[in-house]
Amino acid sequence: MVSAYYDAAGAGAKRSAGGDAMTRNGRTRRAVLGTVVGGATLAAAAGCGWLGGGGGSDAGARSKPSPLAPALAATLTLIDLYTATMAGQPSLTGKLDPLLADHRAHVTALNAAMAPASAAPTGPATGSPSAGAGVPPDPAEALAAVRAAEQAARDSAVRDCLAAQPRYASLLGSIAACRSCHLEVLV
Amino acid sequence: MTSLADALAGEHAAIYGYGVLGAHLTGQALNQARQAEAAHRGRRDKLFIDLAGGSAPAPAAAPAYALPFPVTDATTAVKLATQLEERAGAVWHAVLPDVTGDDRRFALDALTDCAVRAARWRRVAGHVPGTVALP
Repeated sequence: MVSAYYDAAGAGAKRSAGGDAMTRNGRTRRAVLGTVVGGATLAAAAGCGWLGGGGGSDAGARSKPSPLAPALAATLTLIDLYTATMAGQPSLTGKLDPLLADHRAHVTALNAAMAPASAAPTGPATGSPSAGAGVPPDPAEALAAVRAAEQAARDSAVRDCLAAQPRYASLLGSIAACRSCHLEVLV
Repeated sequence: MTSLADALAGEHAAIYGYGVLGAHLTGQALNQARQAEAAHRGRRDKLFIDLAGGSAPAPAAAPAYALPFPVTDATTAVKLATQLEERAGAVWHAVLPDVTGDDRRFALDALTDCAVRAARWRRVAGHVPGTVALP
């Protein structure tokens, strides 16, 4: 008897090429996350303005931070580092830019999980005056600094995932796994 | 728990798939496939033991699995390996909300292992860096 597991079990069975597989996997997973996010939106709404408002003290009922707020803050810090490093070390752009795109996708996913659709997304300030400032002059050292930050952020995401409510465990787990993948590239 | 049974079924399928595709690989790629298969076998064994103590029977491996496409050469072997890891990662991803503590740690480690191996296979296929945002 031949099991139809590969055909019956969902995403991936009908992919035609490696590139397609990558793209479709992303879409599929985002669709899955969308389901998770949808269920979380109401519960998370109270904390939606916490980061964007720089403290979120405008209304007592809205001052409770989302459990995802630390993960979002850590992601934005990572994005700032990537942006500054690419500005200060353009030779690293080819390596860092695709990984930066992953981090930006994490911001989108975290914002979606935290806030109702009408809320302004919280994102990094691109092209900030400090771009490139503080980046080590040696490309190898600059890359090592990014790797160290990525590793710390991965460890943080692992802790967040292990401690998370069930509704947030999948998103935080995906972010942690993605950062682990990045560590293999940041060499 | 249903999601853990699904994870076990996924590991069975991954092991079968690696058994098929390994015959078309040589050198470093074959080594990569063997290491991946060993990782899946390790998780399968642990899951089988864990689930054996429960009320529901642990799913057994099927004698054979219908592959999503014919594996005829190294290119299709690498393509299947990528999909095996994506599929196994997806079932572990689905386990995360259902478990806590050490079980969630195990599921997260499994998801991460599958994601890392999928990215490696994409790089073998020429897709650099081969990462996805939400594995």
